[in-house]
Amino acid sequence: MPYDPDSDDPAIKSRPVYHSPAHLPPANDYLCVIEPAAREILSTLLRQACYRRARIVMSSAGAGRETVPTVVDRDVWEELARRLDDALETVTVGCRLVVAGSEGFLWDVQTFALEKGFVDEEIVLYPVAGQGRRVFCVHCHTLAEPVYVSPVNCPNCQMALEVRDHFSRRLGAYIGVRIDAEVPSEIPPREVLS
Amino acid sequence: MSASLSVRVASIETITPVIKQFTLASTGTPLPPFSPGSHIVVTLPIRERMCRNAYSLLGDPADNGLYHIAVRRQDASRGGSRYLHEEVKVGDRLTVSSPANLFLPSWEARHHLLIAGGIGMTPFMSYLHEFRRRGVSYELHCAFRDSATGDYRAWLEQQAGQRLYCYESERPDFTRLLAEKPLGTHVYVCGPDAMLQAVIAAARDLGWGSGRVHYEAFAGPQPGRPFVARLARSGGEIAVEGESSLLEALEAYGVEVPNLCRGGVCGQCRTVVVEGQVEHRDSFLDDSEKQRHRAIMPCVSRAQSDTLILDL
Repeated sequence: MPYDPDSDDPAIKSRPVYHSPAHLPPANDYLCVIEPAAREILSTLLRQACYRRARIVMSSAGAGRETVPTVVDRDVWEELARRLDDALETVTVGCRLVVAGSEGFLWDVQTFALEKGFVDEEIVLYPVAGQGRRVFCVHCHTLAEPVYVSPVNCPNCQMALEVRDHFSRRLGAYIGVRIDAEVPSEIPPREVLS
Repeated sequence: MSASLSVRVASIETITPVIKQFTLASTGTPLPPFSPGSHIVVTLPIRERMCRNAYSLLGDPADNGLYHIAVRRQDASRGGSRYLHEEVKVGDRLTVSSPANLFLPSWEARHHLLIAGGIGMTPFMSYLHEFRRRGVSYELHCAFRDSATGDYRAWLEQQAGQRLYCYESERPDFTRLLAEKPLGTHVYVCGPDAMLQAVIAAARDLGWGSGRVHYEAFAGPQPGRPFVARLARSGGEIAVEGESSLLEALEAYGVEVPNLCRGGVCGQCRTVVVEGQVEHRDSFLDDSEKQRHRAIMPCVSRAQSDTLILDL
């Protein structure tokens, strides 16, 4: 389909559309992986029924705060990955993976889970609203998070980046491209991202 | 259909009273290579019409000089297997398609659970060659209707050893087979439709995502009631005999319809129906599409009504 900027459909096909179900899909086992900011979402889901087995692994990112950290923290992720690996040792096929958190977190966990042997249909994603975007600078390959406005300056190379709706599932990030490449220093006013 | 190849029947082995193995060799340029799980479509001239049957390649994909197929004699079918059993001799030329693969192993799987019914073991024979090379984890469950499986069973025992589980005249308990499997297990089933449906249902009930459930029906088109196919665009009219599939009748008439599996699975030959009631025999269209009677898979499905008008 040709790109139509006036269409109501998401014109950028790579931008994820989340069909987060209001109730957890039926299963005998759930592994819930969340960021602290998603505690309310998860407790609402878990209160709906009595589940045979549900385990929760919570990231320490932003522990003690209600927002996600301002930079992608490898140490936090690696510590979470170790705990996920431990939990996955006893997971058998049929388990549902429930992931709730900022958008970048959802795709980090999804990518990790697919590598460990989950398939797409066994994973449900619950994005927490208002957590901003993760942005990948195509010029210096730096990730910036959370980003609420466009253009934004890359925290590493300082380039003014237009935050595109093009999304990389591998990186869990939107693509940031230099906005004044044609006419240097011609930078439009900032807009708040949806 | 993929490009056709002329091959020579290099040898014929009798595996059991009802199964013969045909070894096919190139008549000139080397045969194209294939991946595990591939099949070829063999064209057989039967009483002035062409019968085209798909057979799995059971040899070693790394040995690309020859194609091996196993043909089970199906007396209640349309004559293709009978023709191969009774008419085809060593040295004969046959026309086959290039290999196509709708049943490739998912190499990202941590463990492969293979389930075969009878002659449905043939695609897994090509898997085992590649599994051995790659050293992957697998188990193979084979259900046989009778014990007459001859050399194939001995070969499987030698290849798979402790990983082979055989079931004679009893159906495996699929729910038990699929329960408590380590994350990263994929299941593959090849056999009669009832077995496919039972495995698919067991996997779904246990919460397996459809992406880890793979299946291939070995059943080709079954005979049925004769009917007339009318072509809305080109204006032709084709009498489809009871022994011929609609796809074969279209091909004999000179109408090329894209196709791959010839078993109602892959969806390539989907054709729009303008008028008429379809007798759906495929596993590609979903229930609501089948109820609308606006599409047909001509490789296996036929007409309920006397006439079917196709958008061709």
